[in-house]
Amino acid sequence: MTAEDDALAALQAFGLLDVLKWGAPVAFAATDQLYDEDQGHDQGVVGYLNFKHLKDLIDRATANGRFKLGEGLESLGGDVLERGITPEAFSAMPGLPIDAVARRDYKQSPGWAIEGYRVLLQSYPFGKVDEIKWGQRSTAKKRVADQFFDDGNALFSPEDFGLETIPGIPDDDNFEGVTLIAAHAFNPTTKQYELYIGQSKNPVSADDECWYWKELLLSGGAPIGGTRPVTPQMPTGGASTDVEDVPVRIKRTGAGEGSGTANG
Amino acid sequence: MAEVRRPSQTLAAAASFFNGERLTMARQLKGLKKSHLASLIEMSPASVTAWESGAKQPNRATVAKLALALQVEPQFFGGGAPPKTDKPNFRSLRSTPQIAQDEAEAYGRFVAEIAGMLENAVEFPEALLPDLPVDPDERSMTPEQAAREAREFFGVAPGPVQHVVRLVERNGVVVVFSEPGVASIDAYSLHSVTRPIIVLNPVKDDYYRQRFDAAHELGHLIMHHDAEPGGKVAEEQANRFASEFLMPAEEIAPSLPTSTAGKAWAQLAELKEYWGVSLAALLYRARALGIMSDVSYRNAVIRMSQNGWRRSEPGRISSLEMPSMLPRAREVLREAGIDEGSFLAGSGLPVGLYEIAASRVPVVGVRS
Repeated sequence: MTAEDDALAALQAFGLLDVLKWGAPVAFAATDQLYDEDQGHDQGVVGYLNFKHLKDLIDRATANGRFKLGEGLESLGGDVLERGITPEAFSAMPGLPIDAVARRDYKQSPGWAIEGYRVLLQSYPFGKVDEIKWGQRSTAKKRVADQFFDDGNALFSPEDFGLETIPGIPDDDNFEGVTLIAAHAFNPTTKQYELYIGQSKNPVSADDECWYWKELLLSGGAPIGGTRPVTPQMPTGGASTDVEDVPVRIKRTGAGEGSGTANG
Repeated sequence: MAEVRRPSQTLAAAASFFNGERLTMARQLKGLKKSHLASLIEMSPASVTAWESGAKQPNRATVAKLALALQVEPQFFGGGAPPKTDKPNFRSLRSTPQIAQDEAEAYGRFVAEIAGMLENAVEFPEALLPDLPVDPDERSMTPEQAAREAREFFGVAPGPVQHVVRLVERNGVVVVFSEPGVASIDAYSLHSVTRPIIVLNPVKDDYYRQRFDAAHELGHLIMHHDAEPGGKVAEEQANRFASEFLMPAEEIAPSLPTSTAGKAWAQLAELKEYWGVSLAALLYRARALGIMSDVSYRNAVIRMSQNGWRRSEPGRISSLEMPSMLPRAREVLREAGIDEGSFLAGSGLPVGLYEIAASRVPVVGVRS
């Protein structure tokens, strides 16, 4: 089992993967309702709206945040849970055991944790999942990408030198375990969307990657443009001004009739 | 060659054979109202009306004055009735002043007359247009169907129309640039007793736009032969005809982008060059075919606006499609030793206007 397999198996077992896969399209649809390029909305608005929507949906499904149950309560009333969400989305919401997922925020970045793993959210422009610069996002995201990663192929493990392996973010005492990133993208113009989960990485060189590993959880929407080549093979060439004149010949008789009149 | 006549003989003939309709034509070609012409020759507007209607004949001196004021040779008035033409199809009747409409119509008659005269001396391609009437309700057929049938009729292979002007010329349509005096009018077209005529606007100096204009006018000639010209419905039908004629839905749909995100503008630029149509026409096509959403289309138009592309689009081809039928005829005559002066001498038609009509390139500027 690789680190990736371990993580995905754990997230699946605790239902968090299902919650993410359910929440992302619902969040994108909500964003699409609000997005209006004519009001100056841009990628920043898309990312912020997606983040807010997705955060609320994950909280809703995992009974966290504003959906956290009070002491002694077994569930929130439908009047609270069903507000701000379509009936279809609500009925498709995964049912998780209470306390299966807990909020463990990191530096004001909301996080949802299970045993050994925590997931933070990150938006990015559609199609640019491999170009996320964590260092420019936030201190939290930069630190998350600084986490140790054991790919199992190192010549020496820290233990070989008598060092203790510390998974997770070194200076974060609130959570023990690996912090992962759920990266979401939505293009309101083409309606294309993507959802990835993975362990982020600060590239060490210009051509280095920004993920130790990542897994595509969801993708959809119409593709940009047609799938056929722009200039398909046609019997004719394209439009051009390279043509001959129409044939005009002088008549054998009548030529030189300068006093021609209207052919009316 | 035209025989040399003394001026007094010419005047005498012009006064004797004076035709009121030719006075109307000459006046309209100059863009003058009757009252304006009357003041130029210091006569009453009622007299002008009477001459034009044929109720009265002007005397020799007046014919000389009229010829001078209207810058035609006196014999112009004696050339018999001008060729009959249908009312032209103007793009926007409401925004076209009557005086400009009259001038454009008179220019159309002038072109018909010139074409008829040239055809006495040279052989032109046979005039062959399909007649595919499309009424406002489109019960007979839609403009798209008419466009597809027209492509088939002309034997256009799948893909872009290489050269719209040459295609219609090969089928006998006379294509000319309009005279600078009616430059405010978009391209227009008319059927005449001699040949169908398409008059292109010389000011809209855009290859891609001009191709669409020519296809639009072809649509009018084919679909609205018997219909009263003008009207929003007919204009929209002509636009739909042009869209399908230049960009058949089946062939272009797979290449059209759903939005202008990503590399779509570069893709549109490629499509523009290949199909020879403007970005605006492509965007409209993508929307009309339901490929691009209203929102994406609107956003694209806003971007076009911001980039200044609604006024002037980027494009690789900067020269217009050039007409060849009348220009070639003029060259053929010259090669045979007949210059403009002698060709037109008997008719009295203005040489300047003939040069504009028989030009391969637009003549832009203030007319004499």
